[in-house]
Amino acid sequence: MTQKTLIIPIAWRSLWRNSRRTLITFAAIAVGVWSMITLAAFMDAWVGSVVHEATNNLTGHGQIHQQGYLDDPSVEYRFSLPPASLDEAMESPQIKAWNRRVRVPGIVRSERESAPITLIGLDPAREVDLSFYGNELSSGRQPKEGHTAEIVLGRRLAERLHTRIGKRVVILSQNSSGEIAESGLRVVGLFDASLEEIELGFVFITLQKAQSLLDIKDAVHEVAFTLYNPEEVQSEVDRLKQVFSDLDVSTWSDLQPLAQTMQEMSAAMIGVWTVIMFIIIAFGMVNTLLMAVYERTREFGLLQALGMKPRLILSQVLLEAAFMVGIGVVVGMVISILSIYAFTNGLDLGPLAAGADLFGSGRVLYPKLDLIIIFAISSFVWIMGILSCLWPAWRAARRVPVTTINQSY
Amino acid sequence: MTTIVHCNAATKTYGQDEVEVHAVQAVTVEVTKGEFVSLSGPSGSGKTTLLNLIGGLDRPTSGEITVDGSRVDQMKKADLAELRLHKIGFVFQAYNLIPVLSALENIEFIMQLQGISPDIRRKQALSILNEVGLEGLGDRRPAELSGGQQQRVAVARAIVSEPAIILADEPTANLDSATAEELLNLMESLNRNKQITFIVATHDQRVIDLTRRRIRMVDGRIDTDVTEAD
Ligand SMILES: Nc1ncnc2c1ncn2[C@@H]1O[C@H](COP(=O)(O)OP(=O)(O)O)[C@@H](O)[C@H]1O
Ligand SMILES: [Mg+2]
Repeated sequence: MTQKTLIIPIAWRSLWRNSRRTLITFAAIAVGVWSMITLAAFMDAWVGSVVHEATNNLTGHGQIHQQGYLDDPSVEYRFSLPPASLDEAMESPQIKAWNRRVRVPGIVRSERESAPITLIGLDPAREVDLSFYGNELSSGRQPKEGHTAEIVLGRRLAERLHTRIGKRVVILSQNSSGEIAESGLRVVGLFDASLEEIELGFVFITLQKAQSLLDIKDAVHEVAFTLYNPEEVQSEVDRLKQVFSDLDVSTWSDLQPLAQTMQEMSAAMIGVWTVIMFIIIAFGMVNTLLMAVYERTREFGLLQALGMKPRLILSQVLLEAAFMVGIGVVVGMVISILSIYAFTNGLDLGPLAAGADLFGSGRVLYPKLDLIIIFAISSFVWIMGILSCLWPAWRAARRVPVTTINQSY
Repeated sequence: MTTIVHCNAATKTYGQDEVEVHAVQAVTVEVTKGEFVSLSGPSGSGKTTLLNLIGGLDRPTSGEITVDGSRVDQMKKADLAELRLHKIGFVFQAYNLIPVLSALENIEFIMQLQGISPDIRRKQALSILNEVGLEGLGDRRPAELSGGQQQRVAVARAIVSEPAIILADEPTANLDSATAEELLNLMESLNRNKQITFIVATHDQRVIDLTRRRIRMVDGRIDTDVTEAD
């Protein structure tokens, strides 16, 4: 024990012999670790936002449709289930919220303009925890329950149609027998959405109104649901596939393949960046330590002449590396935690987003302090850093003492 | 009389093929406990090489070397380290000390390697530091000491664990004559009072004059080996 502890002060003090070089190495390691951790946090926040946007915009974590609806989302691909069987299937402890929807293409016409839209009939109260439509409207109110002739539009669609709350619009769609269905409705509410295409493209009426307009009795086009734990989506979808064997049950990633791809891409990017940064750091460290070892060749010879075993000399150099990398890593960890913490209330991409689209993410990213990721990255750098110093350390320990001591004359 | 060092036809040849250097050639010599031996001779005569062979810092090309009963020429690296730690003290011409440790820590270093407990080694190091005349300088780093003081610390470190023999290679070469003489007097009194065996490689005549046994080397061979009667 006492033999081993003597290398601690030597390793620690040797670190400060060339303090400028040591500080530069610390800084390089710290910046590298910081970049790995913050990149991971922001990529994670970005992916989280993409997934949230993808699922929150009516997709949910999974959906049920009639076979063929996804290829041709029209009125005929509807399905009708005895309410009891649907309730039973959806009463799963994993499912947080679910709702039935009528969803067909149509046209909305005001006095001045018309626009293609997706007409959606649903019970707004059941959209809470399921989609953005469960939030409060930005103005006005939801249609009254039942067959009321009332409609909610996106704010930007209302502007485009030059209409407003209290005015009337006309909805056109195709009913179950292939006839044009037409209905005049009063605008009672306006909603905001983070994606422009949602605000321009979706209009909401009550489920009963939609079913009677399209003459489809109690049929719907879509059942959407969210889970308490999104990771379990595949098993839940598999279960529902068993129950509704003749229907089409999909996960959000089937429905939003782009979001899925982005999630995978970002994981790959974090991995590649970590490796690149690590290689840069490793080169710096090995170089620093090789120089330090080379400069102290005579000293290592002396240590051996004094009877220090090669293995202990190796340990001493590795300990020096452990201190060097360790301090850099800790500094990097601290500045990453601080810089992530600075943005926990959200990083507003608004200025960046002007004109450009955000690849499906929301305007504000919320990076999370994920201590497990932080520790994983830090300890990876630390351990790999020490391992990469094995070579210089081995060189220090291996030197034939006589040649090194003779260098002094 | 106990034999501390025994060399039997020790030979060290550097280089191969045409440019062989016979640094030490068939040296046979015996050193017994309590001797103060000087190893002199012109530069390149093989003094350093012979000391390195005895200290196990280098391996002979042929021949046998025994230190305190152990066959140095046949030992493994780790065992050699152990032998040096417990039986051999070194004093080199310069750069004897570990730069990041204080004088006291440098002296303690050996005892720490040996696994001696902190309070015992601290006490012993302090008393040796006084013995070599460096009272109060224990906290200084080597860079804060003069050349003569550094060499004293090196001697203190070499004797602290009471080794079988101390090998000193040109210990006074970097010192002015007054400082060199002080260092020599120190070694001489340690030899006389503590029966510590010294082999000192040197070409400094004052050092040679001070020793009782004088071995002179030429071209890797022992030229003369004279012991003065007390
Ligand atoms: N590592 C080595 N490689 C090759 N030749 C060496 C080496 N060390 C010493 N020599 C040669 O061995 C001879 C003896 O050297 P050395 O023992 O250092 O002499 P001294 O210490 O008496 O000056 C010299 O000719 C020297 O050049
Ligand atoms: Mg020499």
